[in-house]
Amino acid sequence: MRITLRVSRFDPAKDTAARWEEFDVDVAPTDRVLDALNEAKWRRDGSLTYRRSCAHGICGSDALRINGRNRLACKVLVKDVVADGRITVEPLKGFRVIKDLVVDMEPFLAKFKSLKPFLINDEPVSTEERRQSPAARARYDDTTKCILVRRLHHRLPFLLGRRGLPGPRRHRQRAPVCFRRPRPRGGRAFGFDGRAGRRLEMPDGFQLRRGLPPGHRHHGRHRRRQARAALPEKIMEPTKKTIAIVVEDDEAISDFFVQTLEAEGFEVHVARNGLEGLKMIQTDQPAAVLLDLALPEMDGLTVLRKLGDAPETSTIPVVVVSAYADADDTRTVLDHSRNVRKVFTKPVRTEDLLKQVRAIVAGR
Amino acid sequence: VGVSDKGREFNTELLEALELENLLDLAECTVASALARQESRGAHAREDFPKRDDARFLSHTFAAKKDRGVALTYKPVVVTKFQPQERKY
Repeated sequence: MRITLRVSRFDPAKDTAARWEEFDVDVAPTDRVLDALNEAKWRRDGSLTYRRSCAHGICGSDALRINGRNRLACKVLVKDVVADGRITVEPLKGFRVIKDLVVDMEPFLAKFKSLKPFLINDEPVSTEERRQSPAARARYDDTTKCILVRRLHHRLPFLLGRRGLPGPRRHRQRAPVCFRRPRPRGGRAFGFDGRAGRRLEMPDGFQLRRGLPPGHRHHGRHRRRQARAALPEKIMEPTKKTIAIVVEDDEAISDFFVQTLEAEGFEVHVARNGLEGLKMIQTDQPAAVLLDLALPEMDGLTVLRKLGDAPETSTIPVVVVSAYADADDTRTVLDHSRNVRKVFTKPVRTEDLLKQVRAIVAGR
Repeated sequence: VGVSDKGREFNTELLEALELENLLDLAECTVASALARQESRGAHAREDFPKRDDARFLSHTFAAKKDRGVALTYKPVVVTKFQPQERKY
């Protein structure tokens, strides 16, 4: 199909202000907007300038304003944005334009550098490696996984500064992922250094959400509001989460389940053997259980029998994830258990597993 | 190869032309190394030399671009924990 690509152009050597230029390009509906830009650059005007690094929706280098919304050009398909045969492409707002669609990222990076996005121990520096448990690590996984996608910069006001934002009200409504910094088990201090070199101590079980790190100030209306509310505004009650239990002796597999379920919003408890798992299920009354069959201390089939024997546990939904689920005698037990909602044979696809867990939680 | 963008600032077209030059040098080195390695080893698979030849080629290739052609030298592989063995599928 032929579309008109309306691009904001700016040549620092010639232009005093940005101007629009239109390119008629031939693209397939399933091409990405980046392909349309490439088509314009490679066939029409080699001086058309934009960033593209990975070109696969990961690095975020081609974050652009496409039809008025911040999108990744390498992710958005032409057919999903084209309107009346046209697509409008502009640089991200809030940054100085260097050339065409390329913006100056330095202010963004300078703000990022002013934070210390890592853990700081109170103990003196050890000569040996400091070990960390997967559980402690899992508590701040989200934070470390933030790859600073610039498309989302308007959700990260502290990285951007106020200039050019669509308005502070909007980004107060949703807490950006990067702001959730759960306090890790084990270390006492965790938080931002900021310009002041201050450390933020968090009371047990609380999470830092929203607001700016120390040393960064709101402006105007929000500064006044912040002054009224002071620090407590930033500390919110921990939310009551739905509990899921993973009974799995293989650490790598359980880690994977924990991450998957936590990403779904569950509070996940892990048991390494059948006996521990059974006790945990009895005490915690989880919304869902992922159960392995080959377990130390007490095998999974016994756990299922014991769950079924007691009225308070006989309705707790269990998803069996095991390599041995297909053996005949195993099948018989699984078919007779009232707890078992689904049996997966390892390896299991994350999507299938999540679908099942979601269905269980929704149906309860 | 032509470069239509004559600008001095953020000239991605010029950048890509310069990268192309380097890629061609690298391609020449790769081809010369592959031609000289008369065996098959992993991803380097040749129909004319389908077998692996440890006697001649259990070695790292070093390729240096010269004014004319590519100069090849070799360095022996230091085998530590894993003994090289044939891949079977």
